[in-house]
Amino acid sequence: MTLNKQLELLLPKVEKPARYIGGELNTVSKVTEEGMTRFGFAFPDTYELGMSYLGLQILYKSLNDMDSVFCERIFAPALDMERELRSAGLPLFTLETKTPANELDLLGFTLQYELSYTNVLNMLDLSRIPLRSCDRGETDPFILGGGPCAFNPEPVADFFDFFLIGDGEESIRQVCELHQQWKRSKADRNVFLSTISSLPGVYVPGFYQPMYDEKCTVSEIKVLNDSAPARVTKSVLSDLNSFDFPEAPIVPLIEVVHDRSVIELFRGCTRGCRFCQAGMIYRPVRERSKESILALADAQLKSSGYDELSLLSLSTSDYSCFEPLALELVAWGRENNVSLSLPSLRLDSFSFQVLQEIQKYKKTGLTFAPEAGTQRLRDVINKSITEDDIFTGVKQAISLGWYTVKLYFMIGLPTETKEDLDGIVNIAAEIMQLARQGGGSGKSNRFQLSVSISNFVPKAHTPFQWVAQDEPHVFTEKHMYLKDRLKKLRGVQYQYHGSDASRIEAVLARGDRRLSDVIEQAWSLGAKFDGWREHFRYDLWLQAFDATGIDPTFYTSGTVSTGTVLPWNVIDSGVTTDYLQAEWESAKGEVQTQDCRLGCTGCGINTFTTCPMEGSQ
Amino acid sequence: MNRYLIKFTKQGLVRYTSHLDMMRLFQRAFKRGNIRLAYSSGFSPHPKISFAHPLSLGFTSSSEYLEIVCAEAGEPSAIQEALNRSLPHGIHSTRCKEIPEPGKTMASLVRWASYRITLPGADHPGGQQFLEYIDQPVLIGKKRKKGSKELVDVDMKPLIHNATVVSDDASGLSLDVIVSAGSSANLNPEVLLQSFLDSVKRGELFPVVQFERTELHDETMISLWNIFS
Repeated sequence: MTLNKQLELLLPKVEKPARYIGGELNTVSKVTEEGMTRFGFAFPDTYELGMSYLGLQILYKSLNDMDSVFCERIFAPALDMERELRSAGLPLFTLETKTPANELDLLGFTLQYELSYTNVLNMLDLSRIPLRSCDRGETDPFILGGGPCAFNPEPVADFFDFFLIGDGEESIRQVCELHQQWKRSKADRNVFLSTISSLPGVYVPGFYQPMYDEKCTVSEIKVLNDSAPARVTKSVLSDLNSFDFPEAPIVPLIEVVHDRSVIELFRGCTRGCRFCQAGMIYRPVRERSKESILALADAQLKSSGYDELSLLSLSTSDYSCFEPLALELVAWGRENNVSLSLPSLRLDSFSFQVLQEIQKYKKTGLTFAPEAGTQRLRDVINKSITEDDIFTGVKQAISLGWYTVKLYFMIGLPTETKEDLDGIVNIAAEIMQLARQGGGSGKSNRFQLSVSISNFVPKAHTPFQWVAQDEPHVFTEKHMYLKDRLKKLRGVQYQYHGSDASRIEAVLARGDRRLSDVIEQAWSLGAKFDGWREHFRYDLWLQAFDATGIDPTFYTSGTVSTGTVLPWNVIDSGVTTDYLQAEWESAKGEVQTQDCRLGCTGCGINTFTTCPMEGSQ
Repeated sequence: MNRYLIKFTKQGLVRYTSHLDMMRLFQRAFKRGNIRLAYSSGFSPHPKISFAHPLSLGFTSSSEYLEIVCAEAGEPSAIQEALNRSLPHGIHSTRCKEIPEPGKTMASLVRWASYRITLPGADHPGGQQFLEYIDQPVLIGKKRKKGSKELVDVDMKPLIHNATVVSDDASGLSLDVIVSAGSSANLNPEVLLQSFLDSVKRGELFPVVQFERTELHDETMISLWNIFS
């Protein structure tokens, strides 16, 4: 029986079987030929999450545009499907041709969040591929990883044959071209790895060996292969307009998390928030031209039939010609019955005008991200939003008829005191006060404020890569402190993240290579879908630390960052360590650093690529 | 005017898309095909598109019906072609025609549905057993209560119009049934088959049973397509 037939017998038994069937609009099918590079794009979470990820659409197109490459998709099966696959003895398969994953040449995992690492192992296991690269043989696929977490790949280094650091759309093609040559040459695996290790953005962890001192911090990273560079610089796509963006995205048959057409407005961010890894590793800012965006909107509509378009970036209103673009898109959307969604807007008066236009009838909620409760702490984290900005924005929102507002804060930020927590409560109280004054109509009574609190996780390649994270019990005390005070405010809802999961995230975010054992142990004890509150099992992680003799506090306290070199030092993000250090000093001095559109702040990215937005305003 | 009746088929793995998925999928297909649908007026306008009768998840169909109102007049054949260029694999329009407007909705006209039920393979109960089963004076099936897991009894007898054995041999058992469909009375053939298999102690066969809808009819047993001809 073919895998397809066997699969059909399982589908009636599982929830949302359409997750596993493939056949969506705009998927690619190719006649498979000997000599072709068969690539599996693996997303280590469910179909609904993976299909909402723009990078998948970009890389799927980038690879399938090559005649000699066939890229197919693989997602983590939900728990019920995993049970069925295991009991039927079936391997994990691609959606396009239902090919077992272990028959592919390259299997690439996108690493979007640390808490998906156990899912990577589970997917390898379901694919019957040895978990560790050192155990893989000549017939096994090469396992590669990319995405933001690849900027500190050390905790999962033992499971991957190589990583692609930085923008993947070009480097992944180069890798496939070299794979073709290697395949024809019939040389062994190591020859391929050796060849690609000299490409920019390619990190082959097997060619590097971290050395530890008596404190277990890294003293040196030895390079074991002549072609591997001492430091791997990230790949940078210097001009977004020069690379074809998907005009015909895959349209899922079932509802996914973000069920809409998406166009990337720009990559990178000039704001320089000190906690934000994305703001550091995606530098420099590169914008897509307005003409290209409008043309893509039209092309995507024609090929997908979506009735919603979203523009993606780290800070939408920072786009250079945001006003003309927004006005043209609003007009275009009205004509084509397409609604627009513009996330991450800074709420100045123009943005309001646009929002007012696009949300004439249905007003979805407004979101602000002050991140910290006082100006002092916002200066520490370099978040330029002021209380005045928030209150003016909310006042305007209320007068225009909005009645749901959401605020994002982080707790556990460096130098935080009780005053900063009180600041969160004060902002919420002030907004409720404004709502009571501003309404007049019955609507003010249903004004809802939602306060969402996340736990600060220090990340590699940021100015806060040296600092300690709060202990889980401290987070919990702070949550209770806030909860007690916020619940007294009528109309305020309070949401927060689990402290234990944030701790594991922090361990993995600044982890070294010794953590591979912990991750494998946690997975073998049953940890998976750790990013899902209902599936996360802190007890299994604690058992795994115990069994491997590794102390999580070593990582969360920041001791890990006190060695001669940082564990992730081999990865060069383009932003210099000197800059990060200076930013950390400024943070301690409560001094803000300006948006670098106003003038270069010397992060170092312009020494290896052009920085087009530098001092552009 | 500008009201059209579209007949289409649903085959293969795409049968695992739900009624709601199908609604979204067709709206997108019309948009892709540049067929402009009329929108309802009011606070949140939605396109005028509706299915005659929902199809259960996992069922194939050779005879599904969809009605639409377009913003502008068009040739039915052009609409059908544009739609077929825009639909995913497994869903295909076989016919399209203009129908009078205003009129009763297709959904309100549906009274009966025909299904072909197939148990593949040599190991299955006999067709005669099935006919004897449904011939009983009282026929109680178990139906899941809406929105809960609780099973409630349903009297299936008045909901079965007709049943015939199409084939009964080593390649499988194939049955045609006509059962109630619509808002006033409805019988999902899964309920009938599950009850039958349970009664002959072959409940384990249920997961392999294939269901295909073959027609929808009004109260006089006229197929929906022919109501307007």
